[in-house]
Amino acid sequence: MRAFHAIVNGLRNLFRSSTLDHQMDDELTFHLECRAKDLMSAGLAADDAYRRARLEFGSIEAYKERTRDARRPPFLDDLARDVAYACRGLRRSPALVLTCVLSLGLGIGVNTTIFTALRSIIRHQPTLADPDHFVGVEPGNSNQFSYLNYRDLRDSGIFADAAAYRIVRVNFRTETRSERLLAVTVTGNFFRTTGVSPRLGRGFSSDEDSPERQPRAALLTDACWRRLFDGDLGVIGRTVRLNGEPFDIVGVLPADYKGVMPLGQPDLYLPITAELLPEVTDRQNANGLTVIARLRNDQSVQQAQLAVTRLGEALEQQYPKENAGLSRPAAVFPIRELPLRGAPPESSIVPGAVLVLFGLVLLIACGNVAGLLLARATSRRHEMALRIALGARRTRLIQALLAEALVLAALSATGGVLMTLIAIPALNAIAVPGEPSMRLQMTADVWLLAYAAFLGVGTTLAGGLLPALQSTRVDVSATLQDSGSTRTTGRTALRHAFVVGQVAASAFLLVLSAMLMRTAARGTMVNPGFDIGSGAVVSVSLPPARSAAHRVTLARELSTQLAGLTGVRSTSVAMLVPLGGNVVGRRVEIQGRSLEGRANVLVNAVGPRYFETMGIALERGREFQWTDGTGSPRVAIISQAFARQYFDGGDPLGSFIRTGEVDYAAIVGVASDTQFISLRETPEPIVYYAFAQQPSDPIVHVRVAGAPDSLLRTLTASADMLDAGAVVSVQTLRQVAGFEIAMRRAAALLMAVLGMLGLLLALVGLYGVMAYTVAAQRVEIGVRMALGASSSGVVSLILRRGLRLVAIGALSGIAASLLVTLPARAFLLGISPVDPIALAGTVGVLLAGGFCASYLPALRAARVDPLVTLRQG
Amino acid sequence: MADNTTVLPGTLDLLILKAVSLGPLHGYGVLQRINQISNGALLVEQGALYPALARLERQELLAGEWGTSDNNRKAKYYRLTAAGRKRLRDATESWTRVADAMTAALSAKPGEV
Repeated sequence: MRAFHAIVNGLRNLFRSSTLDHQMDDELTFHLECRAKDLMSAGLAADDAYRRARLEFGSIEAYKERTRDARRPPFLDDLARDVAYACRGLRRSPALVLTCVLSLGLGIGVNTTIFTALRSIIRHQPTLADPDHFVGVEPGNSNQFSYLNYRDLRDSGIFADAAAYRIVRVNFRTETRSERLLAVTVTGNFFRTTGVSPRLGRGFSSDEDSPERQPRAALLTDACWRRLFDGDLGVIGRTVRLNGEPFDIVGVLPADYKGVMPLGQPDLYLPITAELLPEVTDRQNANGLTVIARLRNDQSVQQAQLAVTRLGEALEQQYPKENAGLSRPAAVFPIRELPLRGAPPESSIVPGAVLVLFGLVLLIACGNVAGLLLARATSRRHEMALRIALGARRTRLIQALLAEALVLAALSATGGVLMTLIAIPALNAIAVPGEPSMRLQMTADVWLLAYAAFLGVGTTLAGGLLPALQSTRVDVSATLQDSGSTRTTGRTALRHAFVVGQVAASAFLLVLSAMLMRTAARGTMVNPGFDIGSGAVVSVSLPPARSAAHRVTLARELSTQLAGLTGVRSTSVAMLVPLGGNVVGRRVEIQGRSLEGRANVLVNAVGPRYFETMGIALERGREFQWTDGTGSPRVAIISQAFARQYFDGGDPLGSFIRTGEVDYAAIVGVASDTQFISLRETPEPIVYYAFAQQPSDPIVHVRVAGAPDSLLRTLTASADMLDAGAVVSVQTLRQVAGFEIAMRRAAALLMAVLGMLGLLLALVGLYGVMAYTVAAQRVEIGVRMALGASSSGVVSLILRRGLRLVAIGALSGIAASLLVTLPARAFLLGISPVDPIALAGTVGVLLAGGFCASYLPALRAARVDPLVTLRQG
Repeated sequence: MADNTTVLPGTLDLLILKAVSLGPLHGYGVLQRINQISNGALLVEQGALYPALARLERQELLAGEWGTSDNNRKAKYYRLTAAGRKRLRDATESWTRVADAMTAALSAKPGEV
C-alpha cells in the first residue's frame, strides 16, 4: 500500500506543471515581502516583520494546495475521485471485471487490429526521411511519367529532388532455383532522395541508371536476403543472373524498410535500365514511372502543381505528338494519398464498411458489459436510493457510475492494444498466395492508440450510459422501505432488450457470412463458360527484352511439345487466363459505324485450338491458325455477348473491328460466352485476337484427360528447357481461375470468424441474463415446485424464456441483413437474397447456441430445493 | 485593523472583482485595496486570497499577467476581463437587492407590521 501511494504521488508530481508551481511560489514570496515591508515601515524589526508576515498568512503549504485545486476544473477533481471509487468497487467484483474485460478486450482488440491493417494499406507510404515534404506527382495526360519526361521534370529544378520507380517482375535463375521475383526499378537517385541507407553495403549512386554502367547493381530487401541467401553477410559483391543478365549485389536494405507497395514486399531494387523497361527510350509511353518528389523548403503543393503544369505545357509544345495532353493540369498531392490514387471511388466505402462490421462485434461485447453493470446496479439499488435521499445530484451519480464503465473500458482498451501488438507480427508473416503474393505491412503507431482510446470512450458510453440512467432512476421511498426482493421489471426488460440486440447483431453477421459461404460454394459450381476442371496452364514469363518473334516461336514449340505428352488432349496458348485476376479492357471501334457510349470490350490474344482446349464452343466461323501471323491480315474472334451487343442479330462475320490498334481485324468466328472478370450473371463482350499477331508472354493452356495435377511435374520439366532466361510456373486451371472464388472464400471465412465471435459474446450475455433470472426468481421457482411443478417443467420454462429472446433477436437480425443482401443481389451468383439454406443455418446455429446458454441456468433452477428457498425468502 | 469583520463566505470573489475593477493589481495590492475601500472594516484572510484568485482566473473572470511592481520586483498583476466585468455587475446587483431586503427586514419596527 505504501508503495502504491509512493507511485501515485510520483505520478501526481510528474503531471503537476512545475512552471505553474514556480510562479505560485514567486507570487507568494512577493506577497510576504510586501507585507513584511509594510510591517517594517510600521516600526517592526526586519526579523520580526518577516515572522509576523508568515504568521498572518497562515499555512503556506495548505493554501498552495488549495490554489492548485482551484486551478483545476472541478469536473476533473470529481472524475479522479469517481475513478478511484470505481476502482475500489470493482476490486470487490473480480468475476465481473474479468468477464467485461475479456469481452470488451476481445472486441476492442479485433477492431484495433483491423483498423491497423486497413491503415497499413490505405495510408501506406515508403520509408522516407521527411515524409511531410514528399509529394506524388502525376502529369496531365495520365498518372505516370515516361522516363524521358521524368528526366526533364527532374532537371527542371521544380522540386528539391524527384525520384521515380516502376514495379516489374524479373526472372531469377540459379542451378537449383528458378522463380519470378518482384523488383522495383528505381532511378539512381531514389535512395538518396528518400534518405534511406542500406544496412549492408551501399545504396545506388545517382548515375546508377545510366545506360553505360556495367554490370548493373542490385539492392536486396532484408526478407529476400534472408530467404534466398540465408542472411549471408558475404553476399555483397556476388553476381546474380536476373532475366539472364548479370547483376552485382551491392547492398541489403534495413529490416524495417517499407517499400513502395501497400500490400506485398518487393524482393529487390534495381536501377532503371533498357533491359528491364524496354520503353525507357520512348517519350510517348504513358504507362511509365510513378514519380515522388521532395518539395523545396518554402514551396507549397499549389506552387509545385502550377510549375509542373507549366513544364507539361512546354513539353507538349516541344513534342506535340508524343506528349499529347501533357499540358492539362498536373496533379501534385501529399505522399500519403499515393496508395488510393486511381482506386475506383466506390471502393472508398470498403474500409468504412469493414470497420462497421467489426464494430458490430464490439457492440455485442458492449451489450454484455451493459447487462452486467445493470445487474450490479440492481443489487445496489439501496445504495443509490440512500445517496439520492442524502442529497446527491443525479448527474453526479451518473458520472460516478460512468466512471466504472470508463475503468472497465480503459482496462479493455489496454488489453485490446496488447492483443493488436501481439497480432501484428503474426499477421504480417502470413503471405496470401497470388501473383505477386500479398502480405500486410502493419506497424503500431500513435493512431492505434488513438483508435483504441476512441473505442474506449465509445464503449464507456455504449455500455455504461443506459445502465447508469436506468439505475439512478429510483423511487427512493419505495426502495428504502422495500425488503430487498426484486421488483425491477424495468431493468429486466432492459437487460432482455440488450440480449435481443446482441443476438440480432450476431444474426446479422452470421447471415452475411452464410451468404458469402453459399456464394463461394456456388462459385465452384457455376459454369464459367469454359471447362475449368480438366485444364492446366503453363505460364512462361520471359525477360522484357525478348523479341515478339521469339515469344511466338517459344509458345508454338512449347505447345507442340506438350501436345505430344501422354494424357494431353490438346494444347493452345493465350495472353490471359479467364477469371485469373488480370484483364485488359479497351474501347472498340467497328469499321464504318460509330458506336455511342462506353463501348468497352475485354481483350485476349489466343493461339490455334484455344477454344477446343478450353472447352468453349465455337458457334460460328473458325479457330485461329499459326498462319494467322504477322504477314497475314489481322483476324479476330468475338464472343456471343459481343455479337449480341454490337451486331444485334446481324451477321458479324466479315466485319472489321479494332481496339486501339492501327489495323482493323476481320471477324472470323463467334465463340460462346465465358466469364472473364468475375463470376457474375451477365458475361462481358470479349474479343480474341490471334496470338501470333499480338504476342505477349505466353501462357500455354493444356487440356488433359482426367485430373491435371499428375501432369504438373512433367509440364514443368518440359517448359524449363526452352529458354534459359524464362521462369515457368505450372498450375491447374482451377488454381488460376480460382482467384475470385478464393477471395470470396477468404471474405466468407473472415465474416464467419466475426459472426462466431459475435455469437459467442452474445451467448455469454444470454447466459448471464438467464443465470441472473434464475437466481432472482429462486423464490418463484421454489413456490412453483412446492405447488407440484416437476423439475422438467421448470427446465422447459427457463429454456422457453431464453429461446424466446434468441428467436426475437434472430428474426430482427435477419430482417436487418436483408437490407444488405437485397441490394447486393447481383453479387450473389443467383443465390436468392432470402436463401433458405443460409437463413435456416443461421437460425439453427443461434437456437442451438441459445439452448446451450440457457440449459445450465435451467438445470440450476431445477435443482432449487423449495424448502430451502422458501425458508430463505 | 482592530475593529473589523471577516468577510462572509462567498463574498470574497465579489470583493476581489470589485478591487481589481478599479485598476490592475497584484495579489498583495488586492488585499490593500479591499482594506482601503472598506475603510479597513473587512478583513480578508491573506492565504485565502490566492486560491480565490486562481479560481477566478480559471473561470476567466480575471486575467493574470506578469509585470514589474513599484519597487521593481516581478509581480503577477490581475485585471478584469469582459466576463469578469459582467459578473461584477450582476453580482453587485443581486448583492444590493439582498442587502436592501435584509436591511428593510431587520429594521422593521413593531408598529409597522
